[in-house]
Amino acid sequence: MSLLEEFINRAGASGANAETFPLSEVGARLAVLLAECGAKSALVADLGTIPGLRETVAVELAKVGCVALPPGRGHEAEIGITVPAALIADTGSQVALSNGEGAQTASLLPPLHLAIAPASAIFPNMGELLGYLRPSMPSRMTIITGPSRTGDIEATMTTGVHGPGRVLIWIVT
Amino acid sequence: MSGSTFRERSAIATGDARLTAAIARTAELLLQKRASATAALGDFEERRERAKALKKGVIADLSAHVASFAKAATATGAKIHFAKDEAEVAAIFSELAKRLNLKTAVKAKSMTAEEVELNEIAHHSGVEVTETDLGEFIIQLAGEKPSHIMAPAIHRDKAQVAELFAAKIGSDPTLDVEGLVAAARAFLRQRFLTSDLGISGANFAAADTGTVVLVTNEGNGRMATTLPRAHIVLMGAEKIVPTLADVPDLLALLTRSASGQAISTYVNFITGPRRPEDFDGPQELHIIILDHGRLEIARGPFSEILHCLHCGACLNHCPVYRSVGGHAWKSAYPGPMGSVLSPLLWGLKAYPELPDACTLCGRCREACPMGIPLPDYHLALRAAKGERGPGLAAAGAVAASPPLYRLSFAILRKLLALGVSPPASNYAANWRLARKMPRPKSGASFRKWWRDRK
Repeated sequence: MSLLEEFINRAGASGANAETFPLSEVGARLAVLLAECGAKSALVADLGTIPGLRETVAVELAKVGCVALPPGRGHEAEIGITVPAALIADTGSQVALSNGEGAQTASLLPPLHLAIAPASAIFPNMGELLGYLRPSMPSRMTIITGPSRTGDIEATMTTGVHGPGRVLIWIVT
Repeated sequence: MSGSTFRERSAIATGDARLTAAIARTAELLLQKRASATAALGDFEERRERAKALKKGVIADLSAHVASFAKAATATGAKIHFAKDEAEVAAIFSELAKRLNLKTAVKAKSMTAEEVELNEIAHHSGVEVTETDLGEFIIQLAGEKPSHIMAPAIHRDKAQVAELFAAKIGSDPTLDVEGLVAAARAFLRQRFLTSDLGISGANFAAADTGTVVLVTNEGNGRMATTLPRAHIVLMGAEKIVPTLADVPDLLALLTRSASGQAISTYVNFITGPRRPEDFDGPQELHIIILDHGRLEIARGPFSEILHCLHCGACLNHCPVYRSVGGHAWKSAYPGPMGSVLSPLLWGLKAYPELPDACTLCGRCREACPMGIPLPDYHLALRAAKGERGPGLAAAGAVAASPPLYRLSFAILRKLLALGVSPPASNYAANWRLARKMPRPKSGASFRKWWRDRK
């Protein structure tokens, strides 16, 4: 099994929805997603690490009248869009750092989180990732696996407590 | 829970059918999830041995590891504070509250904070704390203490939570679990956005990078450590691991043992306060390292209790915990690990009954991801109490001398056959509460039967 396949399996098992397709399809897929979820406001993090993504996202948001909110109003956003700094295959996790513009709040505050990642960002496991980052740990790094959840009432698993209840991961090739 | 002794509190708990049902249901579910997650791992035993060796190294030289962590964390811009006990935590906290002008706080679940009653400390420092872990939020509204180190509101069923929320935050009393979660989300979201301070514990602290690792599923830990302008971490000194590279192995044991998850939803690595290039995070990060006897415990015969990851698996597996619940322990640390840690932190005089709250069945040791010899520690603490009434002392003397033993049992058999009870010590009185004294037939002793057969 390739790292990509392993990632998609594990992310699915964690309750996230992970798919892979060519970068050129992002616009059309985002249009479908926005129509389906009806989000009227978005918190968009720095998408600059994937060429052309920022523009594609801006165009699709504008088409449906979905407003990109400034960071200070991030808590009002209905969808958060980020480019994770890395993916981890064996747990199906994605990584948000503090030094990517808005990545922490955009992956945390809105009820729906869309992560768009390049296939090259996959590490086999957490140990490899930490080994890579260790010389220059950012002030905050969060390894995110699936939707926000709690089992605190009668151990009944419920999603979307404080963080997003729905997590989509698009791995673009 | 009222009741001045463990026995009284247990009696109250076992008389509460809803409480015992709620605890049994959740503990069993957590136990089963853990069982399948550790089985799926395939090499649980090997991992346990590795983890144990790692922690042993840390605890053997705890002061040195504390010093290394403090040095590395200081280099990241965090401020390190050492607290010998809860009075020193209070002094540090109130100084920070005053200097940083802190009035409101959102708090992620921390048993170390329960240990020093940090919410009380904050209150006296003029800081109002809102608990943000759903379980902790429930018991804060109810004015209770946690009854489980991982699932603090395990003793309440959903109908009780719905009633509580209706009374305290005005939600619909007929809500189901999803509705209750949504009500808590809406209520707490405002607190996250407006509070001055985030308070958390730490699951691990890496001595090489000065990183604090915090594990949560709900996202409240992320909110509390990202949104407010200041963050205070309160951690026990034993949470330190030598390097960041040691974290994944321990984390894999912790989340599987606690809730059967391969990893929790959010694993936060916090390395210093916000930096110039950052867009989020607090400007001030203060880490309070709590001793409260840990350095002493590390040098003593119960040092392995400091290997504890606070996963709660021993509670879920304990027949005593599952029958009476955590409040009977009247400590931040209930269950098998609590019966060791509580007397060590606060003294055996404060918690003389806890080591007795154990049937020595050994399930806790088997479940423990660190293989801590909890039943052995319970026995050793019983011995350390040095309690030996005259009855036990006499029984000991009799058992040590074969002629005396034979003679006294011959007499005892005669008395029992006549229906005469021997003078009851306190120990025997308790024993007899649920048992009848035997009435052996005259002359038919096992010894005689054995002699005849030979």
